[in-house]
Amino acid sequence: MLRLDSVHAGYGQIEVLRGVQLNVERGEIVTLIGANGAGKSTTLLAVSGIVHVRSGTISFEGKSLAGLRSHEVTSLGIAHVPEGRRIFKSLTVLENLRMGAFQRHDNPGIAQDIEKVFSLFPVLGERKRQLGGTLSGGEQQMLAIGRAVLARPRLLLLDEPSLGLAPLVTQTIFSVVRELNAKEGTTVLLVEQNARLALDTASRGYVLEIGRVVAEGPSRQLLTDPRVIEAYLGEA
Amino acid sequence: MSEDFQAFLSNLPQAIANGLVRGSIYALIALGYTMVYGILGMINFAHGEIYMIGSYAGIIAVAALSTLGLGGMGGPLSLAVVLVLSMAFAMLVSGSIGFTVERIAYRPIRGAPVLSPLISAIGMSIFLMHFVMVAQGKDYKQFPIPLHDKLVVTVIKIGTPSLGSWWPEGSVELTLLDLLTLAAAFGLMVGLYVFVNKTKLGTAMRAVAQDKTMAGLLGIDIDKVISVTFVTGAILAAAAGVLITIRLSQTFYTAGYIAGMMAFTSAVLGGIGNIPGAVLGGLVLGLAEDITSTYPGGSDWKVVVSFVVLLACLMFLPRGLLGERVGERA
Amino acid sequence: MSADRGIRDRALHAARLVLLVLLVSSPLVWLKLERAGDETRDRLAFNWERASGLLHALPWILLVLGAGAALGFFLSRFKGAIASAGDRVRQEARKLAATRPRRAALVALPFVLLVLFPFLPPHLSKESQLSVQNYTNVVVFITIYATLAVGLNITVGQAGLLVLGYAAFYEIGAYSYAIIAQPERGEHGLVLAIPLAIVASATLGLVVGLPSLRLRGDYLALVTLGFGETLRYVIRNLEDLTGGEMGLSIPDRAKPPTLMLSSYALDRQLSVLVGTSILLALCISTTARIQRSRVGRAWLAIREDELAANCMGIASRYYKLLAFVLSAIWAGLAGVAYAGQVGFVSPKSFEFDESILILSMVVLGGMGRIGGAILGAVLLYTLKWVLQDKFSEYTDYKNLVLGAIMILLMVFRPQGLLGSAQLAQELKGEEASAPPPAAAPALSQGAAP
Repeated sequence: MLRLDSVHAGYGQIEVLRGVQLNVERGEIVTLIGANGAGKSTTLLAVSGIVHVRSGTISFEGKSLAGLRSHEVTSLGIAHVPEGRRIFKSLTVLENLRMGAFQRHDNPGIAQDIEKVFSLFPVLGERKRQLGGTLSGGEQQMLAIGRAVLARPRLLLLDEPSLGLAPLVTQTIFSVVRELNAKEGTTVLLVEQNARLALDTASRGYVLEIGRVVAEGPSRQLLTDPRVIEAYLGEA
Repeated sequence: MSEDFQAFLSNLPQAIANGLVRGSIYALIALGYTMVYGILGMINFAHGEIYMIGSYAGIIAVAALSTLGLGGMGGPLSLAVVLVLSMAFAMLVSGSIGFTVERIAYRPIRGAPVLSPLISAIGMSIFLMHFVMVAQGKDYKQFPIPLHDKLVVTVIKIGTPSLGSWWPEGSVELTLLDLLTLAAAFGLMVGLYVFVNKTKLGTAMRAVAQDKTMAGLLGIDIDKVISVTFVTGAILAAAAGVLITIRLSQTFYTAGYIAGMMAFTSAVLGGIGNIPGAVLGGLVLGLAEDITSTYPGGSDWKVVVSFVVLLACLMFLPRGLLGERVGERA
Repeated sequence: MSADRGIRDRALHAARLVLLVLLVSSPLVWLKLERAGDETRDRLAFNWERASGLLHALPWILLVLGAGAALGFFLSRFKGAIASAGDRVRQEARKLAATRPRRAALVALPFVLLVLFPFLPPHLSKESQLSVQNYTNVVVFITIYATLAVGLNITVGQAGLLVLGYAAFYEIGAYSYAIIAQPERGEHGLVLAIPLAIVASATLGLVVGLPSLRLRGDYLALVTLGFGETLRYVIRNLEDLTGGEMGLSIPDRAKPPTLMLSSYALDRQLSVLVGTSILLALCISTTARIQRSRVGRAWLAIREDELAANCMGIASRYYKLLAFVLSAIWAGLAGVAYAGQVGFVSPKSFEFDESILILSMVVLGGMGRIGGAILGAVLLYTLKWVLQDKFSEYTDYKNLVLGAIMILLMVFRPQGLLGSAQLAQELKGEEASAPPPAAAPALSQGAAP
């Protein structure tokens, strides 16, 4: 579904991705783990057309994403929940959700999906008239995911959804991600610092180091790989 | 009480009425500054010229109708239709020029630090002003249908019995044109409010103002939203241009400079980026200007007074009357 | 192949923009309001003269467009060669200017030549004397504007404070001189004018600077612009002191003295030129010295991040005020020079255009660079003079060209002529999050068994 072939990308003079190679199949949850600065977020940003790709190709459902701008990438069916949530603080919860459905014009469908988000995250329903900036971190993360769901994406790019959240909230969010994958068939590419949580959720994983994939395989296999255990799971 | 002060008091109600009309026009122009500032964080210096071009386009439209024998004096079209058509034409011309200005002078340097777009905008302002001078000549252009000081609809007498013995007698004279200007200006402002707050595109505008990257990730075409912002601001400025041309019955190629500066001051006074703030700022400045002019010898000092008002406000409220509202970036 | 497509895309884009401009400007270009003999109101007519004029100019327009396209094609074809040649030139220049005195001499050389030029041909026919005088006049103004540009560069370029009403300081300097030079005030000359101008402009700098301490970029810009406008109105309205709209002229007795060069008396213009050159030299040397000192580094810190600068113990309020006052003093002195040269001041000479012209000089040359400000002053004033003097029949087009140049410059070289390309890269960099720090490799090296 999503395929990256020796992708090089970076900011200004600095090259962050040095030949990233990965693919995601329809219906999977795939995770990308690695240390800070390994290029996980940059990979997602390259897919979304925000970071300029210098060489290599990215294709989605067989179509090349080269030269597309981020809103054009979105219109192909990719939704991106970036790091730090980036809620529109002075828009209400409802307005934030509606912005997620910007490219859709089926108003009844949008209303239905908003209800669906409220049933996934009831707390958002209670606060739908509140400004985004007044929500707590966990609620903002829920809103960010809900906003992405409203685009009805076939592929969801999730960047660090657990960052700075209480364990209980993290659990809620991850169970919703699993539910979306199981019930709606949404494919998920998950970037996560918490490698254990990520590998528990995903079926496959890639390990990224200094802009390259250094290990890949089914989650179960990575969970038992001694190198991964030592570097990322923090136990012997 | 001195005689000057007596005269000032008796003229005050009229000055307030005039100030409200003038202020509503400033507000219409100020909205364009504030919207562009809100979304791009830049001062669109050329906005005053867009307003000036609107006033020329309005005159051209009326002249065209009367040259064709359709409207104006003795034509088949009624005055109201002529005015509406000229306003529509002015909006079309100013709107398309606003669109072009953004494409040519601002889009290529979006993301550069504050000064580059500002210099580019000042260059555009100089260019447009002198473009109109070269294209249309250096003389004042008259509004083809004389409308001013006609159509007095209402005279409100204000006298001793109603306000106590210390208030001198006076009256407020409102023309149909005043009322029309107020109605048009506030109609457009309400329209803008609804557009920005209740429609999808308006919400997208606010979203882009806060976080362009995120807006793009949600599928919002940022370039398009920015173009819409410029065109909307230009349309409001064009309306102001036509309204003021009818009131003064003439326009001039430098008309955009002072009006633009007063309007920009209004926007800052109200809190830049803040749409209700721009309206409030416009009204305050309009009132300040007309009330000052009423005092004997005061008209020489009206620009100074407006500036002092702004400075006083910024001393106590550094972010304007209603606070600025520019998207907080993450 | 791909380069060709790049060119084609760009040409297409440019063509679309040109078409858009032609379309959008058409109502104002092709329609005119005119009044026939006895009518009282304008009628609308098609502007046939313009159409025929354009038809006549068509070959020239096509020629210019063709040349532009050819140049663009050439530049993009040989981009690599041009860039490497530029690098080589830059390397050589760097070698030549290895030490600081050498560098200073190199910068000063063309300028010294420019200033000395009027002195070189001593005996000339009457006709060419006139043109020398004209030329001296231009050089005097270049030195005045260069002083202004270097002075404005202190606030805008070095300390990062956007000042839009700089002409106000210039104005107060000029009026200080003109006012004390009036017969009823004793016809004082430069001896009193210079200290007075310094005090007056420094005071105005404080007055403008103090409220600005609390304000951020664009508010500051507006407040300074408002101060400039206000001062103009005040001067216009205080007719007893300033002569109002009519302005003041400086009587001969109060004008700058003519200098004696051994036994040879210079004419007044050349004497003024000597004075303005000294002023400019002073301005450049002190400004350059300050830029390299603690103060200059404090300004740099404030420009980059005021909060951080405060946290490191830099009293930003003090340094900002200092920038205002220094910048104001140079403008005040330039104002004295202006009044001495022209012999007449009026509010008309200090309008907003003047502030903009000076700001454009700073930005054109490359903000924060003294050499850039001087270069900008030389180029823009020369351009202005050429458009005004040499193409006087097209004088209406002067500001049209000026505006267009400002736009084109910002679009194609936002960092200014002498600004570094790296800065431009940073300015144009992606809006996305900052580049993440490099990670310590865990799997590929360290943790591998």
